[in-house]
Amino acid sequence: MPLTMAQIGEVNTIKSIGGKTDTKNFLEHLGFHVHGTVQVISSQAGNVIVNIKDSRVAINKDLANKIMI
Amino acid sequence: MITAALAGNPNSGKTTLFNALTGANQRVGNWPGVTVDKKEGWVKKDRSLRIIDLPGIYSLSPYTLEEVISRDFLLDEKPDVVINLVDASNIERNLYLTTQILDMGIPTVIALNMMDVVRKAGDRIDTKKLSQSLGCPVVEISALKGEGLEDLLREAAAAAGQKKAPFERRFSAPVEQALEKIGALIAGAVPEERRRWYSIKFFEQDAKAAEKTGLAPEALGAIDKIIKEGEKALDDASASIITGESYDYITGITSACIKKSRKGLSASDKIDRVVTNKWLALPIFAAVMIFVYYISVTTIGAIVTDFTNDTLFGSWIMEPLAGWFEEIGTAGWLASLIVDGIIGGVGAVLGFVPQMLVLFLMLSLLEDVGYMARVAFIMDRIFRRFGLSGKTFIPLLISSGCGVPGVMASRTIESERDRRLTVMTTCFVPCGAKTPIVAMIAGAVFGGVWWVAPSAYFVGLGAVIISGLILKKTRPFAGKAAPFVMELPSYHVPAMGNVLRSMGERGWSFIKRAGTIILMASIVVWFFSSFGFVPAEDGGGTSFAMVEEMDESMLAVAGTKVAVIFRPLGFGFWQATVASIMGLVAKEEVVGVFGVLFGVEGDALGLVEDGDFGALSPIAAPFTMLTAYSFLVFNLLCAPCFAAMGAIRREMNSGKWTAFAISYMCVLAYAAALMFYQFGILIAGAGFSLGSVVAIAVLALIIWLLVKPAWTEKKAAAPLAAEAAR
Amino acid sequence: MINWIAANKANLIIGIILLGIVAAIVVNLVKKLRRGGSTCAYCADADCCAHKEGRAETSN
Repeated sequence: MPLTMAQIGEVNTIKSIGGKTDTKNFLEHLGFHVHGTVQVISSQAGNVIVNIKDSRVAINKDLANKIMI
Repeated sequence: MITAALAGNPNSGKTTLFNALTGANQRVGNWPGVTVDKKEGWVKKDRSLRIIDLPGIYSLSPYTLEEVISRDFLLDEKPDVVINLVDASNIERNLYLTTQILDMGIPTVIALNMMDVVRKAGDRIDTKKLSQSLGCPVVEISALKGEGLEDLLREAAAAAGQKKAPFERRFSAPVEQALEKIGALIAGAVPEERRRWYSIKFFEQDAKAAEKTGLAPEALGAIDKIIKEGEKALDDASASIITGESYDYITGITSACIKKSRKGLSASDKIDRVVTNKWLALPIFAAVMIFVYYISVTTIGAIVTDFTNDTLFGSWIMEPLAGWFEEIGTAGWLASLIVDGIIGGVGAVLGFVPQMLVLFLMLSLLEDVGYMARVAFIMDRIFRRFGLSGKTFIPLLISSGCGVPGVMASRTIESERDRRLTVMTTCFVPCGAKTPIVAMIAGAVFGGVWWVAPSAYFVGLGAVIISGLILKKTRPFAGKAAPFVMELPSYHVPAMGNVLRSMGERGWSFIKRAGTIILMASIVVWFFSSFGFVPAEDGGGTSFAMVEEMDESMLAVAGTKVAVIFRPLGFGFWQATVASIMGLVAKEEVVGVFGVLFGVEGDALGLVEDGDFGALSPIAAPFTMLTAYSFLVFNLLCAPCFAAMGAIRREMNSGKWTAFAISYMCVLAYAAALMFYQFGILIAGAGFSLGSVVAIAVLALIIWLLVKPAWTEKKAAAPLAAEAAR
Repeated sequence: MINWIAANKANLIIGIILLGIVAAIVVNLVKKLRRGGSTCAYCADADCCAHKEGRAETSN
């Protein structure tokens, strides 16, 4: 399911990342990569703040929808 | 002379480290052709070590401007050593950049920062093991406290110029095979020590790197085939394969070197849960902003401003000076020039510095603590409806203090289109210097009624939103807003030293501006409004002399001619024209000018502060409520002061765009004031006139611009497709 | 002539001081213009691009 539907506080594993190559690559450089873990801290109508590689990244709904967990 | 490049993630403390190492020995410019800062400096104690601060980057891929700049620098300028600043509190992601730097084969020293945060969280990092695994020195430092810097510099100097053995990491078998094959193909085209790096780049389908080598098409075709094989073998895109395996490699290292203590959500996370909560986010934000403005404008700001105007300038300076002038027998006009013109004008502006300082302090505290970043995230949902990203909001917020840092804050917006749009609209928000104008109109004409001031903010914000909607439909700006991705730093107690220092710097430069530009402007206005060509006593011809009636002065004569353009807006008299034009120098000067031209007793701004609106009535005389508000609207929205225009020019990096931005603001201001006034008198009962017709036409135009369909790629392609089909 | 100077000495002194200040300002302005072009002349900051507000807009 997409990241937007993840439960707050749950640790999930990324299965795939969709979207345009550039965006996808940028996300990967930030730490969103397949087999990596991600934890949602806060969610607001699909926009999420997540814990990734020990850092805090905020992404909006469109992007979060492309990250499958 | 050793050249070191300082590279690291954003928010890792790079600027702090750079400042700690170089102190005042730094120079800031731009990387050629772009609006990204280039900072270089010399180490404080050892002037043979030059440090170039590369922009904060997450990787050396060629997607963002900062990454391209950094990579090109490392490849072309060949620094002797790279100081890689790694934030130990999120070491895995930071090491990703490290692997990329190490791939390049440049001697590297890792500066492990924020170790105190790590220790406090109860984790442990085996620095020696880390250094062994990576094959380069690792030095623990605290940039904030200035610890470990000596060791760092020593290691950097030692590492510089050493022939570096290539980084020893291995990818999976299919990848290594592909890299070998690619390596063989590019052997002649790239320097030997870079061959491995280029092989990896080619495999990742990095177009920019490929360009640099100028390889023949057949070779490129062969490489393509190799890549496709690798992708099939691992069932993933080549770039993702490399990234994924890099992280696997990193995890391998960190699991050996780092012991993490089990922990739940960090303190920052807990705060974020509340602050960005669906229901609480906006109310909390509103409360914070009300608090900020209350403290800076209504309480502290007002007190200090009153003191400055009444006591400092009034009693301490102006009165004694006026008295002294009289004593020594100075001519009346000279004394008047200095006391009323110069000191009155400059003093009025200086009176606002305290208020602006407090506002800046509060805003930069918010930023330092880390809350500003959250604000962008909170606002993103709303702004996306207008086709903009939440990152546009921060410049708007900062502009409420001063437009110059607001415009500069738009650098964080990645999309060039959205950045330009933000720069164009950020000056609509009433800045600190515009509030005197609002206060003056509210006081003199509206009798201090409460709703005038807030309405000014609504006018500004409305202009921003409407501009966003309209411009986003046009070709140069069309397209969905860039996706919102932003790293949120941990909340931390603000470094008061830094915050106070930057507040002091900004305040000092405002004072300098008052003492120079405003001073000159005051003299100029005083002169041209006091002298003119009057008919000579003997009745023959005119002579140049002091005028009795200001209306006869040169300023009035010239002003009246120009004032004609403002007649449709309701304030077509010369004083308003002159004031608006002087607003280009500094917005607060508008009030100063009115003070001089209407012969207000004492200084106009000081009276506004005190709420002494009666004495301001000379200003109110030529205005009606309608025309006064129209004047306010125009001055709120029209071109900003020279300093802001300079900032716009720097950010747009193009004279053409700057001219467009400023013209846009003036046109919008004119249209808005026109519509307001014309519809106003229409409603008030005056009959239809040419003005009303024009106003209706303008309104119709704006409505059309708002509702028309957006420009899309398909629309442009359609005629071409039709051509091709024929 | 001397009478005039004597009578107006207050004005003259003050006028000269004033002109001095104005001249200093103009010189300063020209220096800034020459260094940074028209953009830096009116900039409120001493060194145009050296100082930036806070850290939100810089990636550091």
